[in-house]
Amino acid sequence: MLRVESVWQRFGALEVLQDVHFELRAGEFVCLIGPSGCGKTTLLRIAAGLLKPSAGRVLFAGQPITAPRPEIGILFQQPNLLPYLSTRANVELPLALRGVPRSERRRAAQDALAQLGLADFAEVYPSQLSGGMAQRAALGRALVQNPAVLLMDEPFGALDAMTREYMQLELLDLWARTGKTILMVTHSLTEAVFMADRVLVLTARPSRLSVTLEVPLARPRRLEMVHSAEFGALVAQLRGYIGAPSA
Amino acid sequence: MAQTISPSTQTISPPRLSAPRLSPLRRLWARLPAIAVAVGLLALWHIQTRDSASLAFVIATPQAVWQAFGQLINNGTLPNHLATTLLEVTLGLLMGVPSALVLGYLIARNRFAERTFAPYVIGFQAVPLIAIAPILITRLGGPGVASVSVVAALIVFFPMLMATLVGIRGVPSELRELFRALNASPWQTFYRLELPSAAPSLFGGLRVSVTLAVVGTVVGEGYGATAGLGFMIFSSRFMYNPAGVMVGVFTLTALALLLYEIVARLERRALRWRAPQP
Ligand SMILES: Nc1ncnc2c1ncn2[C@@H]1O[C@H](COP(=O)(O)OP(=O)(O)OP(=O)(O)O)[C@@H](O)[C@H]1O
Ligand SMILES: [Mg+2]
Repeated sequence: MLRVESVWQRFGALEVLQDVHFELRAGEFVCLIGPSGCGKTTLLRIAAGLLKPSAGRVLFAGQPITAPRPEIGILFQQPNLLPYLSTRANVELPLALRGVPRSERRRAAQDALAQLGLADFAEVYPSQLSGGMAQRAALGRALVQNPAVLLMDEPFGALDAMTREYMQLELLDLWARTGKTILMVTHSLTEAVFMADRVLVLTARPSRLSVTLEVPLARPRRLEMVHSAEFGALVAQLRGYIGAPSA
Repeated sequence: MAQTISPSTQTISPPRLSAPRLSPLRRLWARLPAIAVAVGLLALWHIQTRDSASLAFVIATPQAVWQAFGQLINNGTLPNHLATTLLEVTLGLLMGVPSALVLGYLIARNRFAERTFAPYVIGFQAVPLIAIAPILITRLGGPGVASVSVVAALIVFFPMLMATLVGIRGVPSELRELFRALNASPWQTFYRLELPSAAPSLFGGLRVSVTLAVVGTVVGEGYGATAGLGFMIFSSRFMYNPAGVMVGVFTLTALALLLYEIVARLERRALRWRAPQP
């Protein structure tokens, strides 16, 4: 589906990514972890077509990515909602930019907001939304184009523990329903194991992919799995790879 | 288990988008301090002019100004000069504001434009307008509406340019990246991101510009113009008619306040998303 082929990235003298390569299979949920500043956001930006790598390339369905495309959605670390548009208009934005007729895009936005539990807040400005609601609206905006691949950059990093667990389950549910391919950056080992089929581990800068951890836990995932011995063993294994205390 | 932790959004009602309207009495109450200042100034003026005959050629009494007001309105002098000034202000804004927007945008977004124009724009700001106004006016077909409007446009230009620069440069880079991720065209990025993001700053520039445009016409009319409120002030002073001067000054002040208020209202309407919520 999405194939990263020996990508290198340097910013001036700073070597960030070295020969990173992996492939996302269709419908897979993959998490990416690595120490802070190792280049996770950079890698996502490359995969989204926002940044041209110093060397290497990314293929989507066999075609090299040279510019952002609607089949690949991206959710940033911050919600990045436009403060002067209502929540609904924010969710509509990708469609509006593509020239989708007003009534059609309104319906799509309304649907997305209803699914995310934001129907009552459609006409409210982003400054009136809580952090979790804002990030849900941003998710709605990423989904309204119905991308096949969703790239997520620590989407729940700024949320409190409860909202975060809720959003994780929501996302897993949505993923199971829609069969999207998801690559999610996280700094939480627990979150990575809980969500993913596979966890990719980046080393400290200059970063290479060190290992891939397969997560054989059953689906659908349930919160109580976190307490199982199998889960604990996987997290411990991951921590061993990354050499850092768990979040 | 999953359902037990869902943070319910149903119990929270969405906040209202518009602020409640104030009652007329509350509005009057809010204006009271400004009115009190006006009354105080009027009293001070009255006391200053009450019994100093020696000042009669410099300051008119409030009553004399009031009478002159009536006279100048009735014989058509004031409406005529006001119409000229209004035309000059409008033309000045129509020339100065768009050109500042265009050049400001170019300088903000383009390195080459910045290196080429920025030194001249900033250097030009240090040139006193009084020094170049005579040259301008002779080059622009002599004193008249056209040349005075250009002087007004020049005064307006710099603050509007700065407001544009600050506004466009202040567009958050994350939002620019969002628009890139959504494959927005340059034009879409301009009117869906840059313009609305810069709007608060642009309106700030516009507030300054409308009042400065009024000042600009007075400066421009100081070089041989034969119509306009500035001309009315200069000629009244020349004829030792302080009441006429004061009428002109008050009319200019009222005009500036009116224009400012119009911009403020447009701003409130356009920037409703920034309104503090109750
Ligand atoms: N446009 C850029 N120009 C120069 N250096 C950059 C640029 N973008 C990122 N970097 C550098 O590349 C490195 C990796 O940055 P990146 O944001 O990808 O890290 P990250 O893994 O996402 O970190 P975090 O976990 O803290 O979000 C950092 O040292 C950063 O300073
Ligand atoms: Mg990052």
